[in-house]
Amino acid sequence: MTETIFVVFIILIIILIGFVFYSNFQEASIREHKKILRDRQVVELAHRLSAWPELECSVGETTEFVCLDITKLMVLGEFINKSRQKHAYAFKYYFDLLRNSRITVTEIYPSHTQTLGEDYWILYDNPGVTPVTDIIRVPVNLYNPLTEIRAFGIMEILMYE
Amino acid sequence: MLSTERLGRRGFAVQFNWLFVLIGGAIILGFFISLITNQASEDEERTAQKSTQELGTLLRVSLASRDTQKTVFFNKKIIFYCRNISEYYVEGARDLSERYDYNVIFSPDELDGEDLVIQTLNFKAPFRVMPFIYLTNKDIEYVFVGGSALIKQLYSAMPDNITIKLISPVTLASYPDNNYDHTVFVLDIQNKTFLKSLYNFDKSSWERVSAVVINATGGTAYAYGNISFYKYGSSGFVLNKSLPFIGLELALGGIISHNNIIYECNLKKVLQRLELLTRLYLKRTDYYYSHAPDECKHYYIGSDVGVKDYLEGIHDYATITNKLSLNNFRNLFFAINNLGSLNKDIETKTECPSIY
Repeated sequence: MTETIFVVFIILIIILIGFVFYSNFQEASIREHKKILRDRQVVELAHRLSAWPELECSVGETTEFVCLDITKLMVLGEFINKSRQKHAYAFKYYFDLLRNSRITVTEIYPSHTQTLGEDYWILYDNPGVTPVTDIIRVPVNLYNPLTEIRAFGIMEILMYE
Repeated sequence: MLSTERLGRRGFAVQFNWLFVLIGGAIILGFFISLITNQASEDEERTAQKSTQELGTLLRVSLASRDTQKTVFFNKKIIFYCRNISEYYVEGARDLSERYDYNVIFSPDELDGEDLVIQTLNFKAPFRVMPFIYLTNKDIEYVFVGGSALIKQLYSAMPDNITIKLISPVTLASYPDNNYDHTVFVLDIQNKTFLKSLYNFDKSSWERVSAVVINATGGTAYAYGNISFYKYGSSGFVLNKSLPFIGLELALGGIISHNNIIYECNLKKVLQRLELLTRLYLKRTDYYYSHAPDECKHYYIGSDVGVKDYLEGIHDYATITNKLSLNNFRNLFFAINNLGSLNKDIETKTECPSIY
């Protein structure tokens, strides 16, 4: 009788250990899957942002591919910040699209001084606690309709928990 | 047969052993059956969730593209809900619905068929405001009645790969019930009276038959006007509601959804988005004014009517979201047109930077 109980007990322990290993493996796999999904969402977001009316260049009512208007960059960051404070709809609209993230645009050619408001713009800064994606960098064309100068830049997106 | 007395105590023990085996077997069988049932229901839920995610990806891709059209195999019933919140889900997965509170999707409230037709068009007022997604399928029959310019414009703007017909008003009366999931008649206001003559459709099939009557100013879809939504009932077509529109994209939204609740909900989203973007353009106009060459400044903010005035007009008419009146839309239409003309003048007649 004691022998049988002992065997059952050992089997139960083996099953329990098996469950622990399996759930740990599953958890790691789910975490990895989540990260892949988030990275994909950020790429999707970057793609959407480059065609966003808030940012896109337009000359003669034609829109250029992955081109950001510098005059829009100059006003958008502050506009989003103020909208978030004053207008419920605007806050919800931008949060729905951008969530907890930090989005910046840096001109890298010809100018590369990284001066805020000149060749470096923070479009949205609503950080969470922990970054959950890698920084996604998207090369973008920049165009200033006032000076008609073209430049090359990088848009960086980082998503948080 | 052996009596209980003859079996004795040993006989009882043997009988009870069988009883235990039976009970144990039943429990084990029950366990496996419940496991299979759970698995099957989980599988169904997982499939529905996967389908909702697939649809979500399709729609997100469509939102980032411009003026595109695609037909995809999607053999699931999709339900759309657009009121104070907007969500869609695949039947059986309500808990896993996806929200689209800030995007515009014109679709009927239910889509059940194999081929899903997705069309994206950009709405401009006069600058690009947002993409509109139109969703429909081959099981909905759209019948355009009449040969006016308005009907022809709308007919040719409809997506390919859908069930669509163009008929003359006199043939409407005898138009046959082709047994599609839904039949939608689209008419110009001048031909509205022909709706009364329809007789081939069973009056009890009111859920399957609707009509959309467009009353466009100047007889063109590129202007503004009213869309009236009708449902077929025991006493013929009954008006549900009339709502205003501006431009072909919104008129198309009314036709494809043929549902006043979904149209109104999306229309409000468009106005809110237009109001938000106009505020951004106003801010950018101030920036233009302080950075543009002196000879250009008066175009943006001037003693005469400048860009800022038209933008303020658009902003004001778009802000009144609760008042979806034709009068308001007329003013909005003229403000949009005036800004468009001024922008064109700046672009073609001057060296100054245009506003969009």
